[in-house]
Amino acid sequence: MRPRDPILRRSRPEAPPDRDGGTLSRTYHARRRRRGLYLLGAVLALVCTALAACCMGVADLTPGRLLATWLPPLGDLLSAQPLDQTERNVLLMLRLPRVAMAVVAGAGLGVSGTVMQAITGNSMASPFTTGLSNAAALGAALVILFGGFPVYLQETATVLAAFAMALLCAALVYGISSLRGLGPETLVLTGIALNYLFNAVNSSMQYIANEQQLPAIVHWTFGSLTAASWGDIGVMAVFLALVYPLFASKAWAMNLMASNGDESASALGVNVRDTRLALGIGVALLTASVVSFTGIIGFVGLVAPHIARMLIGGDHRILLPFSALCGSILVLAADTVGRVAFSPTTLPVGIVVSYVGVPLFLYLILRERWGRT
Amino acid sequence: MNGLEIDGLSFGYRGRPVLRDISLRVEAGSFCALLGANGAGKTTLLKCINALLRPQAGRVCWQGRDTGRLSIRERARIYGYVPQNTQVRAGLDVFETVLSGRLPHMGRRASPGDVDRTSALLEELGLTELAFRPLHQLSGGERQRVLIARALAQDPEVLLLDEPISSLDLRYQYEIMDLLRRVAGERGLTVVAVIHDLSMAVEHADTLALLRGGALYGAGEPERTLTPQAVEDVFGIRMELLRWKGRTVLLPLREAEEGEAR
Repeated sequence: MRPRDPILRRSRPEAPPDRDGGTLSRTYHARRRRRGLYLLGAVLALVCTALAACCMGVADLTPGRLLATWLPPLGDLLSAQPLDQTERNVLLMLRLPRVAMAVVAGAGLGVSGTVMQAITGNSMASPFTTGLSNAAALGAALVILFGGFPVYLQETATVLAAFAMALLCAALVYGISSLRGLGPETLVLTGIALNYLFNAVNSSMQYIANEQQLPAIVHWTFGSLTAASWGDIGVMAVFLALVYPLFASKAWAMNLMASNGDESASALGVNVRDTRLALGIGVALLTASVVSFTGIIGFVGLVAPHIARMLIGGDHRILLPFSALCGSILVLAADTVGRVAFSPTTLPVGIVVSYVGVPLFLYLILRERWGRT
Repeated sequence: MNGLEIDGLSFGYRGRPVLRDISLRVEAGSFCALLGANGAGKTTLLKCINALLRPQAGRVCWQGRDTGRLSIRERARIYGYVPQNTQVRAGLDVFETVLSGRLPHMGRRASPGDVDRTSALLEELGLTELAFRPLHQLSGGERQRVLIARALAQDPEVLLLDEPISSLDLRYQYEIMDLLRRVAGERGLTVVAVIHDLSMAVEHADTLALLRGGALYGAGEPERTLTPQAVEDVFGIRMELLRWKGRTVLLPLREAEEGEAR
C-alpha cells in the first residue's frame, strides 16, 4: 500500500556497507587535530611577537643578548654581550609589563567579542559597540573632572570609576532589554543606543573640561598600555582566569545560539535566557577590567573574533581560545608598531590597532569572497 | 498511560488566544500529521508540546509523565525538534551541527561515541558528501535533512517537525516522508509533523489531527478524518477524495465541477 520505492538508497553515494561512520569519524578527528595545530601555531606566533616586542624599542636588544643574560653558556656560544643593569631594568620594568598587558588585554577583548557576538547572534556586536568602553571612558572622565582625589589615589580612583561605569552600562543594557524578554536584537540595539548616550555625555565632559583636564580625558579615550604595572596586569589576569572557564563551559550553547538560533538551542536543552545572562555578566566583568586599565581599544573586540572565525571556523570550542590569541597578537603587534614606528614618539595602541587591524581585516574579507567564487 | 497525551492545552500571545482547550492523543511509535490552514495554531501547538512555549492551561504528558515539569535538559532527551525556519547564520559545518544534537546526552565534551553516532546518521541520511560543508551554504532541502539528522542525533522518543517538506522538491518530499515513516516504524519513534500537503499526509501518516482556528477539529485515522466535509470546514476549499490503486488522492474541485460533485 505504501510506496516502498527505495529512493533513499538510490540517492546515497556508493559506499561499502561496512563503513559504519568510521571514515567520517576519522575525518572529523583529523580536522579537529588540524585545528589544534592552528592553535599551536597561534601560540608560537604570539611568543615570537612577544620576543620581538621585548627586543624592539629605543634601546635595541637582540634575542642573543637575552640568552646571554639568562643562559650564559648559550650566550658564550653566540658570543653575545649580556645586558647591563639599565637594559635589564628597561626590559623588566618597562617592556615586559607592557608586553604582558598587551597579551592579557588583547586576550580579554578578543574573547569578550566572540562571546558577545555569540549571545547576540550579531556579527557587529563587540564590547565597544554595546557601550561598555565608552561608559568606562565616562567613568574615567568624571574622576578627572570632578574627582579632586590626592595624586596618589587619582589613578586607582580613575580605574575604579571606569570599572563601575562599565558595569553600570551593562546593567542598564540588561535591565532595559529584559523588559522585552532579553532577545538578541534588543540587546544589541539597547547597547548601541546607550553607546551613543555615553559618547554624548563624554563629549559634554570634554566640552566643559579645562586645559589641564582635557588632554587627560582625551588621552584616556585613545587607549594605551603606557601605565602598565605588574599589579594592574595581575588584576586583569585574575578576571580573565575566572571568567574564561565559564565561557569555555558554554561553548556548545554558544555554537547553537550563534549559528542556529535560540529556538534550536532551547530544543537541545540549553537554557537560553540564563546562559545569555551568565555569559553577558562574564563579558561585562572581563571587558570592564581591561578597559578600565587601558582605555578604549575599540577595534580588537570586533575584529579578533572575525579573524579567528575566518581562519578556523565557527566552532566555539576552538574559536574561544583562538580569538583570545588573535586579540593578543593584534594588540601586541599594534603596540609594538606604535612604539617603534615614530620612535621616540609613541602612538597610543588604541589608534594603531585600527591601522594594523583594518587592512588585515579587509584582506581577509576579500580573500573569503575570492575563495568562494 | 501510553504515548503522547495533550490534555486541555490552551495558549495565547498577550491575551490573544491561539490554542483553545486542545486534547489529543498520539500512540507511541505512530506518525501523526498535524494539518490546518495558516494561522490555525499548528506551529504553536508543536512548540507547546516541547515547552518552547509555556501553555497557559493544560499539560503535555509523555508515557504518563508531565514533561512540562521536567528540566529543559530532560525534555531535550524526550523531544527532538526540527524548526520551520531553517535559515541559519554562518558558523558551524554540517558535522558540527548534527553533533550538536548530542548535546542533551553529552558530558562536558563530545565523546568518541557521540562522534561515531553522528557519522552513522550522516551516512544513513545520505549526507556524507556534505559533512564538512558550512551549513549556511547548503540548499534548503539539504539543510532540512541536516536538521532532521540533528534531531535524530538527540535520540529522542518523540520527533516534532514543523513543515519538514514544505521547502523541498518532490523527490525529497517523498524521501523525507519515507524516512519519517521508517523512524516511526523501525525505531519506534513517535512522530508529530506539521504537513501542508494533504495527499502526502494521508499516504504516510498513521493518524491526522486537524486544527481549525486554534481548536482541534478532529483527529484519527486518515481516511476517516479527512472527509470532504472536514477539508471544506478546515481549509475552506471543496475537494474530492479519489481512490486509485488502493491509494487516496485528494483533488480540489473547480467551480464548474462543484455542481456535479453535489
